[in-house]
Amino acid sequence: MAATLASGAALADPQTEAEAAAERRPHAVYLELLGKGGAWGAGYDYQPSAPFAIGATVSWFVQDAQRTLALSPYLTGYPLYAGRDRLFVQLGPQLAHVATRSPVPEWPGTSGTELSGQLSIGWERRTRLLLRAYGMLAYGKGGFGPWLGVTAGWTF
Amino acid sequence: MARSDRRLDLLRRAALALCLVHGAGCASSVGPATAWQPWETIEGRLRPEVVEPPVVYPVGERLRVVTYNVHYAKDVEGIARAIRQDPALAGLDVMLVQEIRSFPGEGSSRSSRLAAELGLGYAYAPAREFDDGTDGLAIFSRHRLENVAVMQLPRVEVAGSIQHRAAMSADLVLGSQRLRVVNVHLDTRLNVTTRIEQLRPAAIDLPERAIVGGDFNTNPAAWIGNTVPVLLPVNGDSDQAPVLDDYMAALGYHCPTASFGPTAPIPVLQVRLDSIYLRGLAASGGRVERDVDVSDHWPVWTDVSLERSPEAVSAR
Repeated sequence: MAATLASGAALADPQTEAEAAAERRPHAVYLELLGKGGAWGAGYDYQPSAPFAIGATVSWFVQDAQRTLALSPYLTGYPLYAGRDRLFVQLGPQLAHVATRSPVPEWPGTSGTELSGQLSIGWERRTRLLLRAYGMLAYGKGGFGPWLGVTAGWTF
Repeated sequence: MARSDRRLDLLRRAALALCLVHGAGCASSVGPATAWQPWETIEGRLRPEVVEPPVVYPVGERLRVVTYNVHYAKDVEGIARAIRQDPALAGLDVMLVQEIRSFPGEGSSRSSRLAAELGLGYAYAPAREFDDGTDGLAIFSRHRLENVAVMQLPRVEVAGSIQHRAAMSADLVLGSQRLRVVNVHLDTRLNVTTRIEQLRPAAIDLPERAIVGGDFNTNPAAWIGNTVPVLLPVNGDSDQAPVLDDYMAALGYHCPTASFGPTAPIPVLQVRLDSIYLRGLAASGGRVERDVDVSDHWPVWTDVSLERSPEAVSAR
């Protein structure tokens, strides 16, 4: 099965049955292990047309006395696809609130809300089930951070 | 595996999964610290070594303070050469060293050999036994060290084991003045609040003017069960180092090395593992010496003015 470039004139290529099916099931909900939320996440995305989708992942993560709430909206592009399998690229900001509760009396703890950016590149298989595996790069005020994620969900 | 063991294993796995989703109830158990123990009262293999400088150096208006994790110092001569050849490090007055070992088969401790190479006095404080030798901290100085003491820091179970972590303190003799210096090496796989609890006993009850430096192992990960790292997506924004700076600020310390960038050559990540905190003292200049590549950390230095810092004192 030949990979198809989903940009510009390349879109004139006939869509496969699977791609058409995917278009008829443009909504997806999913759970992530690691990924945009750090440890886990839950998300929704909507694919209005074959080469693009929009979505968001939310995550609530607590470890010791540090709590992180993260919201990561994103735009997805599919530069390559072959039937049900696609290469995807996601780009978007992340708004994260990190609160650190003090374990000691002399310090009140600290909290802050920061905006950062995320770029993810990975593989997606989209049928009734949605499966994704990807690597990502987050950019915050402290620099770059590499990470990875695995997604499983349902399309409808 | 017996049925009860399998159940226990399943429960452990379930607890780890719960921690992954929501860390409630997953807080680390932090043991107590010991009091500062004068070095003369410590016996056995963990007895420190304290040696005066070979010559008396004049006391200047500034003190160049270095912190350097030497990763066991297998190549003492190489480390000494790198320090001598670096224009900034060659002028050091005090160097706080972590992860330096001593083995009886080598004839003398690595600290004593490094001190001899650099023409400095030193105090070596073993934190734990390692094979037939020891592994610990050292303070190297142009000036005499008094009141050398060692504290066993609170123990935290990390990846199923507990390592002995220690801090050492000494009074630098600067003419008629005494300046307390504390050298620490904290656990790696700690969340920031546990890290604060491990550091706290070594930093909280020091004199008004003090230097606390070392390898704080501040990193940008959250650690599930002090074992599994989760690199939080906000990376630098969730870094432990600024949170530890904030805690130290509550004790009146400032961190002149906070803006110097990463202190270890870790690919992609920008990680500030090592810091120098000052209380009641001002600093000027300094940097991370990234051309000195004889360890898995880089040396970090700053110049400390021996004048009182009004800002730092008023922050208390």
